[in-house]
Amino acid sequence: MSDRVSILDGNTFVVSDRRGDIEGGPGDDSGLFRNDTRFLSRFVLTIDGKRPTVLSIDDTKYFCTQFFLTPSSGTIYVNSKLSVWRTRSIADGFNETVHLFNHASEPLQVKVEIEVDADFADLFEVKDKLPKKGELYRRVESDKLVLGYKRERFNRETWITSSEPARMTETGLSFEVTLPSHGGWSTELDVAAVLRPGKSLLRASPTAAINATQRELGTELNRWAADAPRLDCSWSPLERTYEQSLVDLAALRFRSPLVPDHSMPAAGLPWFMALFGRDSLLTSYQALPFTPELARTSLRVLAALQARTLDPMRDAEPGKILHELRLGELTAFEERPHSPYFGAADSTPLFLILLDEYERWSGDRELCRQLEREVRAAVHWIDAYGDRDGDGYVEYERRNQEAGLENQCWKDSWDSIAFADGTLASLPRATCEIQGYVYDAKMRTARLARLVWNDPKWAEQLEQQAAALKKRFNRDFWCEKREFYALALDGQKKQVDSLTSNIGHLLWSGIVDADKVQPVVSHLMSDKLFTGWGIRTMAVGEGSYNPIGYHVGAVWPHDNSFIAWGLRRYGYRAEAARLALGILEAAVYFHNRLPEAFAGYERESCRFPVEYPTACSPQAWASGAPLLMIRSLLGLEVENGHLVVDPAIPVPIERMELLDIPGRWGKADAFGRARIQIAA
Amino acid sequence: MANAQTDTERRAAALWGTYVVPPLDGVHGVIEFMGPQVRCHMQIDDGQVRLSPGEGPAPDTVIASDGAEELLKLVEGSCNAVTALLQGRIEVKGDLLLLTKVAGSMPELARQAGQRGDTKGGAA
Repeated sequence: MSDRVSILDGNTFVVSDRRGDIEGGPGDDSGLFRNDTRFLSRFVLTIDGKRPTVLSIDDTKYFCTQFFLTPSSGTIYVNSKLSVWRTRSIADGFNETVHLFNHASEPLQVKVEIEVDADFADLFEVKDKLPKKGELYRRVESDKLVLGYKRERFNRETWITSSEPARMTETGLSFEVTLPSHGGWSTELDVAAVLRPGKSLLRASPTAAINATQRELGTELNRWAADAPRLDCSWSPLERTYEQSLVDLAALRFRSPLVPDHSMPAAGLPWFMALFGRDSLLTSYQALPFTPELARTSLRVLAALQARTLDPMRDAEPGKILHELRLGELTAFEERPHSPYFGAADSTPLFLILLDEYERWSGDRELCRQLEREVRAAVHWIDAYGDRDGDGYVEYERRNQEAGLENQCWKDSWDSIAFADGTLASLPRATCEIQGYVYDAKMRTARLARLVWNDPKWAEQLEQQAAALKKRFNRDFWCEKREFYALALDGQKKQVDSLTSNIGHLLWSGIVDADKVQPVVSHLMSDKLFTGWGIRTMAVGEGSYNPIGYHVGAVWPHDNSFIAWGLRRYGYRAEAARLALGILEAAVYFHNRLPEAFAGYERESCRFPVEYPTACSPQAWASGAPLLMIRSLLGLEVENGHLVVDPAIPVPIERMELLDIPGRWGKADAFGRARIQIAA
Repeated sequence: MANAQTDTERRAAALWGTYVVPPLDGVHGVIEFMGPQVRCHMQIDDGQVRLSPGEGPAPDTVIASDGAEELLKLVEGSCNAVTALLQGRIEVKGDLLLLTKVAGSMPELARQAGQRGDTKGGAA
């Protein structure tokens, strides 16, 4: 069970321990965060100088939570006559009501204290443990405690108020409370993350405003869940995982201040509550048969933020789709290039893939017409900038040598692109899955060129380019001896010969030649890659392999979801079913919420999937993974404007119904029964 | 003080005129810049940009600052509008997306203005 409890709304979130306390420091993710800044790094409740013990937590809604506590006796026994409840909800900061209940027959006097502090750390400073450059300040005003930070004109404050009279000092609040027998006391604490001190007004009626926010969020969540297809399944864990995925995708919707009218998926809590191109695109693809509005919004926003000029500091080139947008201090002062940052070589082809898939499902040609300019610019980027040296492959190398990302594919750790002997590949690197995405992007854009933009000549050019790429790719990336596709070509065009999960994405893309499919599938389902729970990012035996290596051995649910869909594409139904079942069974051990990644240990060696340290949870594309797995199990596809259902369901699941699937057909239902026997 | 004001006005005046900015193809809108000694508007029309003094048509985006230098640097392209906003050096109302689309192209205006100044010795 995680020792962290989170509430969130948009890009404001609170991470605490199970008592509700915040004790954030360098490298520690707890705190109140807004716009990539930690507005509160310490918030610790004590009763008579001691921290209470947690009894239970109610965190069934993503925007509010309750902590049930009691004062510790200092022994293993709990024999207190005092209950402590902390009811916390998110709201431009957070609101917390502390309730005390005296269950004794005589009155009780207690001292309640809340220690507070704010380091105003930028998310990058938290992760990388960097010192601040501005000045922290504090002051006690008549009605509130102000914690502040200023660096030139960059100014942030945290305002803390209490509904009950409190003794306020620069380090916190305290209350001398007398509780009548069988009576209670409470105070409402409001912690406001203030972006523009001097120009902000504190809420006139915090309670009313917060209650309204909670009602809106609750109503909105109900609508979101009601609009999504209903899953009825004989295997109830899948129903719970599906419901949790929908709730998490709702929770992770993010409104950037640059685009306040549109919400799209943030990548994940806590480190990635920001706009990420790759993550939004892949999550939207996963969710298309369930919540198509994510795709529409993601496409519109990313198109609007498409690079228009060459900007080496931001790794921006005309037509490129962004990698990441941040709003904190380091970005403001250009110590990080994230305003926005464009260091991703796959976002641009993925944008094209999603647009086509969205049109196929929704029939929304109007959006395609509106985005024609951006599409043409994206294709131009692939050819003019993505292919840096004219060899016909998209490779990457950062222009921003100081702060840019060295790896600009989804496996963006420093050590993820290595030869079988563990040596790192030289730059620039052309990873295999990006070539697959480019192939798929050009084929799909050709379809839209004919269908929407009435440009058959361009369509023919794109199809010819795609065909040439496929031929070239199958020649240059295929490792004859080991019979799989190289992870990448390095700076000298040598094959980076590690066996990795990337080959599964090639199946999804359609770039794999017919005579190479069987060996690829055999590798994916072998013990070296498939743990029994899921496919590892890198195979056992490779030089860099590490079962708890982020991108060199851990298992990523989203990775597996696209691999499963790719297996279906090439007709490997049983293998797709086996993979889907493994991941969905793993979800049960994570309380139906798949994390960003889990360890790549063999299933036979432990009864449950092993957690990966520091995995984000919830993570958008991990939440989307069950959705794409469900699509894979039911074989949902669009052909000639109609929904086609081709189930391949493994025996343990028995029966699945997905009702009211939205699309260009209105709503439709899908039903399947188990016919796939999974070998033990 | 009079010399500084004259210098600000002179720098601003050197930028008035019409520009062709291909990265802004497909972009339409009006941005107004408001501050001490600097008040101007930028009309963007499918790659054509006209920068003019004073008020213009109803703006889609208004950028305000209490420092003339901030606005001048923005218009001259020597500071980025998005980071200036994040730092608190400017305030922005209206269409922020228009601002992000235009932000990266501001240096191009200054470059063309500089070339124009080299050949003609003054504002267009």
